[in-house]
Amino acid sequence: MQDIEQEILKVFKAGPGKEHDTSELAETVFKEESLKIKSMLDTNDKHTIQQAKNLKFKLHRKLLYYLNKFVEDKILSIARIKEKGEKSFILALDEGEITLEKGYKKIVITKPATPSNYIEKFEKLGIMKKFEEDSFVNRLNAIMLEAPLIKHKLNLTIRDILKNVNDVICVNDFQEVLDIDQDLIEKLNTDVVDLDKTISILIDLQDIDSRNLMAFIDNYCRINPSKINIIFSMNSKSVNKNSELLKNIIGSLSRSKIKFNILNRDLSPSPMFKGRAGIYSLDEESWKLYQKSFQGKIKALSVSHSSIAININKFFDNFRTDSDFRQAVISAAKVLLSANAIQKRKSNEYFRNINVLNAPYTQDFFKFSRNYIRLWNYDWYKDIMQNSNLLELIKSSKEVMENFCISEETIYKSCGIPMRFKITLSSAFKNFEPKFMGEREYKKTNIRKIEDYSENEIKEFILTREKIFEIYDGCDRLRIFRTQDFKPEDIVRETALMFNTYKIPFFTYDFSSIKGVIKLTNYF
Amino acid sequence: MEIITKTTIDAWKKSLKFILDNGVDFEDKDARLCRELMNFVLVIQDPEQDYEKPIDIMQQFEWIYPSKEELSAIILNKEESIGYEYNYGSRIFNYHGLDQINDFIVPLLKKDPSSRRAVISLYDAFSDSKLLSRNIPSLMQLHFKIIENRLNLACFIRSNDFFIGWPGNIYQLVVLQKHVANILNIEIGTITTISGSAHIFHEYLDYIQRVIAR
Repeated sequence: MQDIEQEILKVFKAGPGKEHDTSELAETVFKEESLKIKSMLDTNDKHTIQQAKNLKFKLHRKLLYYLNKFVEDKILSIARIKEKGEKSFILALDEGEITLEKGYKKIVITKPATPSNYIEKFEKLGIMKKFEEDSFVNRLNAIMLEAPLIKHKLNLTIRDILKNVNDVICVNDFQEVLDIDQDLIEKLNTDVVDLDKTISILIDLQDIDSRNLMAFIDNYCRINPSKINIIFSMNSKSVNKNSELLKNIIGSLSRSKIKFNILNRDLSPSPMFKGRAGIYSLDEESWKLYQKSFQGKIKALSVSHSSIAININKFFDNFRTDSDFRQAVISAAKVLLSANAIQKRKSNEYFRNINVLNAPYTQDFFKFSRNYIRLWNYDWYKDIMQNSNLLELIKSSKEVMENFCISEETIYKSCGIPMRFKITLSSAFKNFEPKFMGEREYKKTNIRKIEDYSENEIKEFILTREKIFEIYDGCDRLRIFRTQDFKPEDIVRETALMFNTYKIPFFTYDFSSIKGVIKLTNYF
Repeated sequence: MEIITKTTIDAWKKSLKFILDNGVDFEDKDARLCRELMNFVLVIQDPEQDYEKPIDIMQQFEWIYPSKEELSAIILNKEESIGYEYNYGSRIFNYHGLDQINDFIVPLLKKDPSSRRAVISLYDAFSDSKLLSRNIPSLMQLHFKIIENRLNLACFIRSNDFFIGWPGNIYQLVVLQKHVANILNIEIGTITTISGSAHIFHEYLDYIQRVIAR
């Protein structure tokens, strides 16, 4: 075996379930050359930069020669082809231990087990879907980083943790670091777009320095990053206190057609944030304990392990009874448990970098994490209006699922495996997996002016959404579409009204589409 | 309260029946109804012949029960995993840097096979004796003793769910007992568990009756 082949396989040995793209492999396999290229690219000399680009091209071509040989030999396979045609590779071998031997050199690779598949029949029917199946076990959906604790290495830490998530990194208390790195968004934007990951920035508006914030928002709007969202966290007092600031924020965001995400801290003191799969949060009890004993110590916290989506309409096209549905939810829970058990057992291998980051509080990383079963394609509103039993079915499924989690926690704990295992129900976003999700089926309600909020139909609609938020333990989102013909102060007034009248912890104003009418739309 | 039996399965069934008949009901902190016996002693004279059987039975129910590989790894792996709040393996093989088996038990019993000092601790007062700690080891102390050239093991378990947890506990303890016996090049003898609280949960009564009736 040649040295280059050996070096490539070492990368896959270190992360046997992970995908590795050509650039990442080139940087690891040709370390010295890559460093040289990097320094050449940092110069201002056009000729040197061109030389660096040529060298990089040659390195990639050389690497691809070996990678393609591995693909031919069925040792690797192409996991995906990204933007600009860059290939991403994964081990094509089954789980277990494999010895690859050529000449006098050999390498042993152990590929982890994949979780038992209790949902195979549902997957085949297109009823259930694991989120990011390739990294379902060895990456986490969502990790929260505490910005104040990593403020001097914010960019590096986020980039490092990106490899551990398959959906989103939440940066909490970002208001504390607004002036640290002016170019942060620009630096991160390319990475998250290339990796198809999301960064959710949480800004608390209480006691905020408005000048710093507006400088940051203006810069953010100029870049308009598609994969970095901001959640503004506030309580009813800070809505009133910051009405001028909110007007400016809304003005800037709406001009750039960027969503305005609002977290009502009166209703949800714990953080909530947005990924591609849906909304993530910590449960209230966990958040209280976290604040009391861990905040200020742990830099990175796992928020979500893994997620599975269920297409409800499709389920009832194929199965009939409520009991079938509850059983299906338990099957999904079993898959999540198997995945969690492997993740925890292999955590030192998968999340070694987080161990280093969190030391000496390494043991607390998973303390508050949970899993998600995300529901898609059902019309709550219609169902509730027709007094049918979907709401009750979801409630009873939730109860059965929670009992299953308690039993499994007891089993594992009793066996000396103190493993937290929690699942929460929430809605799925279309981007969970657009192909699987198919077209949305939902009820739309139009709102044209603030007075519409007091109309019975609108009231009923929002009250229905309140019930759904309750079932989901607050972990959902209400999306309100606005056209361009409004004044920012209208949105501030509406926000205050939503805070004072309804129990909706998380809502979003979307300024991107729908001209002429103002719509309040429920999406699942 | 002491039960002495020949086999593991017999021990499990007799203990479950004994707790059912003699235990006292109470509600735990999570509002779950339990039946409990205090300071319950169980001696298995020949655990080796069927110590895996209770797990095989648990795996037939609808829950996911940890695999034997997983259970062995938990008791034998010295590396501390961030996935768990505590690890039996690291408490045994890497207790503040001390390998309690290889650096203490094995040399001690090799030097003095009649020693009564072959005790290891899994409870760490420094990290476990905290008011807010919810998850601390149930397995507290192990005592190895060679009698008639066989390695006997006695252990103190502070809180012991006899239906759900015990099959895993006894499996792990025999795995460890065999591991040490192998190093000492002797056979295993009896295993004794002393449970501070031996309990069962009411929600599993149907399953418990099914096990007893087997």
